[in-house]
Amino acid sequence: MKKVLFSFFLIVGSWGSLNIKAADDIIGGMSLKENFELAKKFPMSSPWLLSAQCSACHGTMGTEFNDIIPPLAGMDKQEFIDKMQEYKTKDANDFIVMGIITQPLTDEEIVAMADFFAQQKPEPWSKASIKKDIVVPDWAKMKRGVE
Amino acid sequence: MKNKHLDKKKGMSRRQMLKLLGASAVTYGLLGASSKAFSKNAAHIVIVGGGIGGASAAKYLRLLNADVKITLVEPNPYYIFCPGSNEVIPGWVTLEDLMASYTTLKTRYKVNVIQDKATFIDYDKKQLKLEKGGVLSYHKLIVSPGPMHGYHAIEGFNKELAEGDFPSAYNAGRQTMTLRRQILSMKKGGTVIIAPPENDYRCPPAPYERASFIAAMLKEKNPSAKILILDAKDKFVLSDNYIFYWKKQFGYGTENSMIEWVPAKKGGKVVKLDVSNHAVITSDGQSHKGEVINIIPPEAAGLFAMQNDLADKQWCPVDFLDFSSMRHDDVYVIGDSVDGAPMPKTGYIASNQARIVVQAINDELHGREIGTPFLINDCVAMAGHDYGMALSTTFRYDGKGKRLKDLYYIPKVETNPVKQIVRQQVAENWQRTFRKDIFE
Repeated sequence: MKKVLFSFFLIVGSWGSLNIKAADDIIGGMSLKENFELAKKFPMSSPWLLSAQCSACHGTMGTEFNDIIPPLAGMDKQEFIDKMQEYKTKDANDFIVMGIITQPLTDEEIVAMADFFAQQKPEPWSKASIKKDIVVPDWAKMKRGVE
Repeated sequence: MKNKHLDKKKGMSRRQMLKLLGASAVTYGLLGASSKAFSKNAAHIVIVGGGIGGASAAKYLRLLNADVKITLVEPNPYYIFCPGSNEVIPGWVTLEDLMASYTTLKTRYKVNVIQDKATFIDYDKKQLKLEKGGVLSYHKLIVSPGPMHGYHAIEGFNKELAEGDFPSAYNAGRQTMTLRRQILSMKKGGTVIIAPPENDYRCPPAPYERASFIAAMLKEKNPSAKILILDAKDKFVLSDNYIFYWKKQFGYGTENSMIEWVPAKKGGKVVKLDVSNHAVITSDGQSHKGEVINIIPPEAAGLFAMQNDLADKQWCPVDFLDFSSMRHDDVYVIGDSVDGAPMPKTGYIASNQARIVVQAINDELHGREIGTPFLINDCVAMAGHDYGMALSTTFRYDGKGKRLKDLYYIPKVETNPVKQIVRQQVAENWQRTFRKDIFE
């Protein structure tokens, strides 16, 4: 099941791969070249921090599985590397997030993240609800909102 | 003001921090000593603000370190996510969907959550004073108060009016519901005025996403109504995408367009609210009447940060290595209050800044070099149920301790309807995952 979804995701992603952007299409504070120079100049960010940057979409430590964004926890190391490199080289377009955020990552960083996620348990999160004890206020009657 | 870089870690030397891991006798504030689960000598990290930045910091610090004592100070009993709150206006989601409690932080992550308002930082004693009289001693203080809304920048406007008949609705909550009710009950052919602020402000595409959603709502319920965007800026992020969508859906650019956008250079900037005429006055002196007036005022660092000398003028300067304050030792500032350019002010960024801070604090506690920061931001936005966007940016540390360098693409207009929907699905699913990532 997991595998099927990953493939779906890559197929969807590859629609945009015909118009791979040239490096000079990048708008922003630095070029890709400058990015890689900075990456070389400083020690690599920790695998934890690099991987934690993915949490907002893929769930804490890559454990969330939702309709369209696949989980990363427990993913085979080589599979992770291959997918990331594929996004980086063949999907350098603005269709989805992955084709963009893989651009500045070094090979070393991708391997570090692959190692990290391979070590995470692919268990789903507990069923605990983030709002189980909320008393829903009567908005119309409230004098002041939550500010 | 201190020159942070001359005596960077003077506030607490590494040796002192290491001692905390050992057996030195340290006294604690009244409330901070309450949790029995932690060693008396455990370092105490206090967090001000239980929004996305503060809650992420609490949770991720615990993921890194089982031994530190973590206290989070937040006046509200729950948090309502701002990401997703524009969808409340047309009724696609409810505010209840966006609410999160602090229970999981307390029980699963052993965070001492205090429902109170932080008021004063005693930098010499390293204590935080609370409104109800409590005092917390901290080793490290993380400040994540969110922005302050500068209602008074618009003549005639103020917080009371925003909480009354002129909702800004830029913090999800009661004002969001007022705005929804006003639009639903607006007379046929009425005008909704949206006045976005100048940069920088929380979630740059939000006012335009809001205009899109309100237009979708009106198209169905009140098709002769108009939305007038009176902008304090000359351009806005993702404008190509929004204008493409508005042309397709709402006749943008034609005489019958539901949406009109007036940039600052064409007199769009709202300078005054005329309450008695239910109108706004723009910089060119023109009066614009609106049945619904939604002024989003300019922002600055949160009041708590301002009152505690953490801001320069408008925002709080930080060292991007670890987001420590440039003005006071052992204090970190994250989220919308940070002088963070080129980082935009988004919840996504706030949560990822939190991860950098807690890693830096944990590294310091263990006597390690602070790791190099790396940041990702995804500005996820929608134009409608069938059109989503993501502006992804990565940030690398450039070593000067001053700025992170950014690398980004502006998503081009997407004409393939399948891709439009996939992007919208990414945006919608992201919100759900994000809420869980911060609070569960």
